[in-house]
Amino acid sequence: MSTRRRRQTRATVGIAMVAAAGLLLAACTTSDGDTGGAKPAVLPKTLVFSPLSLAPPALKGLSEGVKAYAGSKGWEVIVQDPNFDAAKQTQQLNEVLDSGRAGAAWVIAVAPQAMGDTLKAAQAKGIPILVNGRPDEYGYSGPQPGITFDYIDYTAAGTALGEQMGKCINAKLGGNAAVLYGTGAAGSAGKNEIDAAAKAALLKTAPNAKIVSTIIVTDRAQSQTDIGNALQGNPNIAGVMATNDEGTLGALGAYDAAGKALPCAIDFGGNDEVLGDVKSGKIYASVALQFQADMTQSFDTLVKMQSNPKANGDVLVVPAKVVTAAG
Amino acid sequence: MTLPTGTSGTVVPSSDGAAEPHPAPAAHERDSASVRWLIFVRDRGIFVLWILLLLLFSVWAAPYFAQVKNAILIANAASLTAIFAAGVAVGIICGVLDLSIPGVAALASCVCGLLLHHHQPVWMGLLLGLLIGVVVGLVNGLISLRGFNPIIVTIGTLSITSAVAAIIAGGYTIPGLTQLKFMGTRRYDGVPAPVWIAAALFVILTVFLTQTREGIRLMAVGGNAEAVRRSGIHSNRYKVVGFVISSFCAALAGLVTTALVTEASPAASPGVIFTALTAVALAGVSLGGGRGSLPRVAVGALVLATISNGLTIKGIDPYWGTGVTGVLLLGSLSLERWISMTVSNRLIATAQASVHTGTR
Repeated sequence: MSTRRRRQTRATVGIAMVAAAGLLLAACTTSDGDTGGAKPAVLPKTLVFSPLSLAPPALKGLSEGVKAYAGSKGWEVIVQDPNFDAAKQTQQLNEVLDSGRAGAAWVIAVAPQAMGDTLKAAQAKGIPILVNGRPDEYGYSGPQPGITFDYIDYTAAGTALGEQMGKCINAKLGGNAAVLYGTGAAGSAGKNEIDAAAKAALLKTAPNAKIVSTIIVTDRAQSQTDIGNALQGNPNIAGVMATNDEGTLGALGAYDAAGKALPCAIDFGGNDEVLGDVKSGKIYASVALQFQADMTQSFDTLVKMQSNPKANGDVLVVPAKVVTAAG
Repeated sequence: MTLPTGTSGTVVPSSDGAAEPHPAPAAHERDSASVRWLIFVRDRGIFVLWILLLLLFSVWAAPYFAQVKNAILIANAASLTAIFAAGVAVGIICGVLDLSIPGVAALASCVCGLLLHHHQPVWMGLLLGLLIGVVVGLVNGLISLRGFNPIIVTIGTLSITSAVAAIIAGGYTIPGLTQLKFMGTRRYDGVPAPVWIAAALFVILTVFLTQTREGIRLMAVGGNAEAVRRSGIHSNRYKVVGFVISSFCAALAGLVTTALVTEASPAASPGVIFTALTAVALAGVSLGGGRGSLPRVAVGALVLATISNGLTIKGIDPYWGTGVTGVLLLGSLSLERWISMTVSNRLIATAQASVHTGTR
């Protein structure tokens, strides 16, 4: 073996030893952290906010609201963007929980059933965590230590949606009307509950109203096109109720394009544009989710949990309010 | 001794191994006629399919389907898909698949929306939106020419354009863009603006591809870039032109979508690529490049819109529409492949017979 070769070999071995020592040290450090398991003496005032994605304006708005509200209380907010990727979401959360930076976490889970290990890790580290959804969606039968559940009551929302449509038909159309129902795609959150409740409530409030067409609302342009097509097949459709803002706004566009008036438009969601249309009378009513109120109740709950992260968390409901032109 | 012939009229050896010329002028004519028929089905099958669908829905969804008003609805619904599909088709014809289309559409939409939101003139918003399409296409093309895989390059620009759209819009939609209604919901001679825009685009691009030297070369580059290069034509330049046209169409479609819903959205919807690709594949555009027809692509978009319209009018569960489209797509691909192979086999058989027997 030449001198040069021996030097190269020695250098390689040296680098390998240093790397191995480094890995060993890192492993020991991690191991210490894990086995310790005890919560830090004082959790940092840092909130990790992990929504489904930052692409939807509603979630972007929520993240801005969380940052502003938490900031006003002296908290720092780390906003993550899993971009609808469940694996990415759990990976990002595990990283920040392991880093020791997180004092609390708020997660709108892409796949609740994939969150089990992350929730256990947060519980083990004593970091309070709030997840959107009901306990059963995460495999629990009820409240859990260190975890607060915050869910949208889709049954109540569907009931309000159907009732408002019924009221509008009774008030404006003499109790008789053909209705188009815009619903979410298969597998979307709460679809079964809201569909069943909305239809049952409509039948109860306006027994002579009939849903003559159902469309899947994916985006506003597509719903505008689909509702235009449905209107061609059922020119007498006088009511549209949709389980999201895109469906209701698409309906307004479709009726506008067809040169027709839509007497009864009912919405579930309640974004700013929808609320403006409610005020101007284009939309009869919106079952508006009160994200601002939900944001403050969620954050305040997390702050409260920090003082006793081993106690059972709450099961909260996202507040919703029926908004009409009258207020 | 008579010579047995195959079903396609080809010559086969007799039992003693000798081959005799087949007195086959009639069979030859039959071959030619069947080949011509198969080629007709391959090239015009999409038109036949569309007519069949129209007839089917006219009966099934009577009386609402077969109306002028509904024809306009179908054309309007198809126009957006058609504009996206035109860009995808031109790209594929010249050998490039541009995946940045949703991002370019979102970016053009948001830039235009932002300018209008700040009370800038409409023409400026539209011009800048379209210019963005041209610039992104240029960037895609120039990077790809440096040896990078165009699919990866356009995935990169999809991410960049989507991110820039979200950044400039602050992550929110920009609503209330009623200034654009003139190219959205407004009708001219009873026909919605998007239909006029799509029609104009298709006429221009079809004339370009079929009647101009540059267009014909662009198609040739998709068929065999190396052969084109060896014939002294600067093939790279045409690839860049393909990217530019593709991105330009995406930007135009983004602006038309914005006009239709009077709202600019930073969310890039990858679904538009799949819908456009479905229309392109239904139209029989060769995914290998070099062959395709834009009028057929327009009919491909009309087929998709017709299925959706007919099923919605009948109140059929919307999931069926997606399934039917998939079945049609697979069916058309299988048919296209079967026809191409059958035509090739028959032409080869005819050529062999001609060589070996001297009769055909």
